[in-house]
Amino acid sequence: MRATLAILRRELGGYLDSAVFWVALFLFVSLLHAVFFFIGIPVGEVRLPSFWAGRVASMDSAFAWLPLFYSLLAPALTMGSWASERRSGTDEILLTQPLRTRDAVLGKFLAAWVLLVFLTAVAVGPLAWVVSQLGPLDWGTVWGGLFGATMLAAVCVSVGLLTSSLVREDLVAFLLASVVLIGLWSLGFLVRLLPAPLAEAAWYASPALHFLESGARGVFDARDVVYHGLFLFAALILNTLLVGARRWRS
Amino acid sequence: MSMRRGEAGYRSWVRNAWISVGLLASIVFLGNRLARRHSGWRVDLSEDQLYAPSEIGLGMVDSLQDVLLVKVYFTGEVKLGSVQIAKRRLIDQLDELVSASAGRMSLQFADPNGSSEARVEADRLGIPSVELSAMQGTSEVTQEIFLGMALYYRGREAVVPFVLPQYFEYAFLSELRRVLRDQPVGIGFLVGDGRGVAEDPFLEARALLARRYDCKDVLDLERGESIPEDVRVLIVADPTELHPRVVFAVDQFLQAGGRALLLLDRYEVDLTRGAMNGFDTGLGDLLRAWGIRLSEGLVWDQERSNTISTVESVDAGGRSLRGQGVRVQYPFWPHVDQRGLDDTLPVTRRLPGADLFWASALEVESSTQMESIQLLRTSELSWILPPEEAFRLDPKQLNARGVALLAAGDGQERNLALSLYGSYESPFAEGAPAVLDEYEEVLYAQARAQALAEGREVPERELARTSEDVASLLGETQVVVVGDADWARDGKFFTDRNKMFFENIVDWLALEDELVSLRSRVARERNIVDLLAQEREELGLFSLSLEESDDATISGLEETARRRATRRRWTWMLAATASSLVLGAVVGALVRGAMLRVPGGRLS
Repeated sequence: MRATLAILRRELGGYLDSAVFWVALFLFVSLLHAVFFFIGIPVGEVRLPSFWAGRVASMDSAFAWLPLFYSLLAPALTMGSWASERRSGTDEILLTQPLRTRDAVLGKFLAAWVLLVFLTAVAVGPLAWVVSQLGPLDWGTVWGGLFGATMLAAVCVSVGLLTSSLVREDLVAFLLASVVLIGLWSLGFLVRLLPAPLAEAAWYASPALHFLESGARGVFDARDVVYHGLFLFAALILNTLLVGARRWRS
Repeated sequence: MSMRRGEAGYRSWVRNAWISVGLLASIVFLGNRLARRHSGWRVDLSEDQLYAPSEIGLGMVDSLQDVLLVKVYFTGEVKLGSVQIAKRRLIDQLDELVSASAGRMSLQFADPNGSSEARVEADRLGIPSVELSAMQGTSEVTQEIFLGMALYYRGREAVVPFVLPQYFEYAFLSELRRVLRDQPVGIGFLVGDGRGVAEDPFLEARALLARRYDCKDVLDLERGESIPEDVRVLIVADPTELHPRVVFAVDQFLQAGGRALLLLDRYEVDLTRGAMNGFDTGLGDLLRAWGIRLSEGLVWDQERSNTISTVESVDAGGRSLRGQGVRVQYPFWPHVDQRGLDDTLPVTRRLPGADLFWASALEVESSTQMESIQLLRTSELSWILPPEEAFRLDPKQLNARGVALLAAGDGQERNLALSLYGSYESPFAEGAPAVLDEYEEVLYAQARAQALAEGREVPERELARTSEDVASLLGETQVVVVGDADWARDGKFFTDRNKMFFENIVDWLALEDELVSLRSRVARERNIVDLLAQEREELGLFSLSLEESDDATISGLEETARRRATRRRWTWMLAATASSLVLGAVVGALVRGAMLRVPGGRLS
């Protein structure tokens, strides 16, 4: 546990020391607010107008954008976690330290997850406050949405870490994770085009749909918690195995 | 030697890793499968509570005293992806109810697409197949889909013909309510003059109720018939010149504890023919006994109204020409939104609103003995205007009239629908009116026509009394009176909002509160403030009279209002974004600073 916390501090310090955090903060907040106020959701089964066009005190469109934003932000935060260590050779130093592989994986995961959840809270909180000043906002859906976003963020970060451990280049890790996450997100759009058995499997496999169907609406569903929990567990174990393999090789 | 041991160790590690991956895949697959089947626990944190089974539904299923068999007629092999997901959700929703029933509800599946026996059964029950199609790859796939079910309970049967997940709860539970009842509830319809109408204008309303109630016509009251005993709620729709004996029968029905919904019109407006017909409902005595009065004139709601398609008039050198078609606010069609709904009663609390058309206001006298609740009301910017003004459709005329009324400043809130509860003194306490005498009726009609033609006051009907017993102040009753009947007429006036309001009132009067609560499970309106309207009001744009302003002043003020509203919108947006950025930066900097102070905290 102490080792995990040490890695967490190291990684978090790394994020805050670099430009990554500040750029991510600025871009994430500005873009999320811009699409919420001016664009809404122009595609998909449930299209939503922008906040000013719809004139409804609801955070639905902000939450609906989160899966896509996470598909880019989580890979951006995690792309260097293993890939740059591997490229610069610092992974060998790290892995020869007296710590277990799973502690290193968990520490890196927690750092990126905490950061992503923090960015979400910072972006959504003041936005929800402004909306509540202009109309009767349902705060239950905001808390439910934030809880769902926390689970979705964990899944997205775990996918980002996994791809980062597979390659040497940051950019390749970013692209690979983004493609995987956007692919999982877009399963929701493919459901109509797929034959029934595949559609049901695709619908269940998409983390974004588990978020949009429950958390984003203010619903806490035990099945979604199990789904996200198992997805996260599997991704972290695989990550541990992949990093462990390198330890053996070195 | 040690190298060989290292290689063996690595091989063993790889083997273990593959076993772990296999185990992991199995755990993920089985874990999700188990969770889907057995873990349906859900909490809806939202205020509207739309995504979790309602307490009422679960309570109804839990209170079953016998076994409820639900025969589910679903297409077995669905080819369309979205339908498969809808079917899966429906099965999940049914499973939730089965779990809540403690073994008293069971499901039996039948596939009408796969079994001719099931298809015949579905046809007999009136469960239709719906043809649905979707693109799959480059080809279009079409399939006949069955998503219906039949409920069997103590020898009674009810059918949900076709249902989608979003409507499942209400559709299923209203049918369940029907099979749980030992006796069907009777709803009586008294339309027009109560002597039967050639073309019933309330067929859609009847059809809505016929799903759950035993709907019947109430006729021949003027000939001395009384309202059937099995009628629990009487709907008096658009009453016209009701004979006193009919009013007496309604009164005695209410004195005996019956309940009624009255849809009252005083004027019939036909815009296409430009005709307006005023008439008497015949219910004046009864309304007076309740302490209410129908206004002379129609309600004009300047602030909340529906739109109408009309044609703009264009001034062409002193001649008025017909311009292009436009949609304009038509204040004679009041739109009641949540601000105009009573928020204490379930019947209106969660309604999305209601739309009325050429409505009269209901005025309550202070001496009324009955408890009255305003169910629907207009905005405070409302007036009662002569009915002839309903033909004022030109946008400029409408606007000018609105400005003049606002300048007068004497607008007030008006009642459009009232609920009355309690006992009252019968207006027939002196004696029951005699039944219809055809000869007397002809004489009265002639006298009336002559008086109208000569512009004299219509003579009072000479009423013969009988010596039969009259119940008065006997028991408590409940009546809902709406100052309009058009809103429930077939066609475009019977909007979805109006249908919900209509069903809610009838269910409420029929003491089916559970159905009211279930139907009212819709997302409530959460409109944000209208910044432009606020700015207009602040600039006094609503209170300018025509005499003291010209077009340039108005357009200048309008421009200022728009500019100010835009500025306020940007202020709110910047407040949100700047707060987020500052909050993120401050917390980020504090955490960074704290880490620098921790020995070994910064390792990067």
